[in-house]
Amino acid sequence: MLSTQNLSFCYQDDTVLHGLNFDFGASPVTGIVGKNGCGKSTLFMNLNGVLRPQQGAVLWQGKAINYTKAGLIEHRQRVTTVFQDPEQQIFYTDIDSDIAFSLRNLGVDEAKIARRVERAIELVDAQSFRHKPIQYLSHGQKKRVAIAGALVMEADYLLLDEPTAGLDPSGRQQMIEIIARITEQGKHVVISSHDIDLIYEVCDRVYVMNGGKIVAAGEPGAVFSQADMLREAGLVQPWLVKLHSQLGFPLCKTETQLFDALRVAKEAG
Amino acid sequence: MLGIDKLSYQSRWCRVSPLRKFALYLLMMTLAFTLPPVGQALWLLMLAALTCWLLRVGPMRYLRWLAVPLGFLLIGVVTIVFSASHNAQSLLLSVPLGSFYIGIDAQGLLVANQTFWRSLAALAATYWLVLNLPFPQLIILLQRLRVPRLLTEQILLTWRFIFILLDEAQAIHRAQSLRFGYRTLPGSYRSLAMLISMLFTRVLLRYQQMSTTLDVKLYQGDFHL
Repeated sequence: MLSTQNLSFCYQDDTVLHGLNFDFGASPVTGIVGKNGCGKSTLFMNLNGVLRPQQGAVLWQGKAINYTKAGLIEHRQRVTTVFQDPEQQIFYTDIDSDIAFSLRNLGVDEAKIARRVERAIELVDAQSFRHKPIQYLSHGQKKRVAIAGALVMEADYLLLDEPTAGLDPSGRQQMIEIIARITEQGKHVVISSHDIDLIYEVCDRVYVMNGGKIVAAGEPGAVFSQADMLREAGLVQPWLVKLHSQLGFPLCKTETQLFDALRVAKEAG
Repeated sequence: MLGIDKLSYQSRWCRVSPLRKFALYLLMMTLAFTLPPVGQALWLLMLAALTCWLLRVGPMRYLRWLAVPLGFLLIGVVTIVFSASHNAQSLLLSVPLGSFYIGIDAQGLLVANQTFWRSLAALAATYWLVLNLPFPQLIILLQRLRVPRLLTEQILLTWRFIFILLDEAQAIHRAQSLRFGYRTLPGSYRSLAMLISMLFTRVLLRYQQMSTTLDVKLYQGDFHL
């Protein structure tokens, strides 16, 4: 399982992460929230082994990861990353070759690659635009291709950096469904995002970061009820939590749940 | 943006094997070079009609594509038609200019006629190939023709990233125009210089991000074409 122990990282003299302890194995979907520059992206780069912490460690099954070339190749098969900008991670002009890229780099045989690519395309619902050249896809479609390119590894952990940034409402909803499908397969997802409503809805556990430190951690309902702490971290409460804390509505995880509860209450009243 | 690239995917022959297309292209080129001018003109018409039909585009659009190289071609042809001579008798029509005569030369007219139709027919054949060969098929073709792998990879990556570069250049240009960066000539030069230097730093930044992604995707120096 993926975790960190006392992880510290600095760029030159500038300490970006201060002795962080994360446990990403504790729940299927972990959210990390924090304002711009709080260290979320640097944390992801540490988790996938691109950056190496100066102090502390990134742990896999309780053991510090090995930074040799072979060790990193092994680690990156267990922990895959999807960056925010899809243009940064799509190298081919056709979708199939791009999704297959990391498997081909590992020398997996073609029959297996074809099966896995098929599954990944299904998971992100990309069948309808599969044969279009990449440069003519919409931003949301490119994002799904980038996610498929990571899912194809069938890794235990998927790190998603700002999965809903720049998506339209239906694209955002699709992203929520994709995350649900991934966790149904017993995989873990770690999401870093500013989309506080998304994090509240899809995560089972959240960490709030501010200035490279963890300022709160735990179950989303409990963490997001701390309005002052969130304000200090440059964040706001999710709207569902606001309705609960300010107007006394029942605390619900999704909009549908809230509306169902209200409908029941209305019919009863 | 570059709509021409998109067209090849809507060609009626989109899925025909690239090798067969290439063989047909060689045949088209041979005919374009060997037929007499009248034949070349007819061949040009046939190729244009075929291309329009395959791509489901109107003749006006096709003519617009042809107009781009036509300008160069006409200038070239005009220089062949006119020639200078000491002797007015050797020219069909001439005007004296000092001790020379400048005018239309019978031989030049013949050559110009041949050049004009041959170029247009060859151009139509090349347009046909370019417009009917989707990019992934071009890569297959290059591989079959044993083009060095490094070059093919280079072409693939260039093709992929040229769109990103153009998009960014366009976005910067738009932002500058909206803030009147191109209102005066000196201003335009300044803005253009800024655009280029910005593009350069963005390219470097992107390069860095992409190297990270290649790392994460376990890149081992091979793009598996």
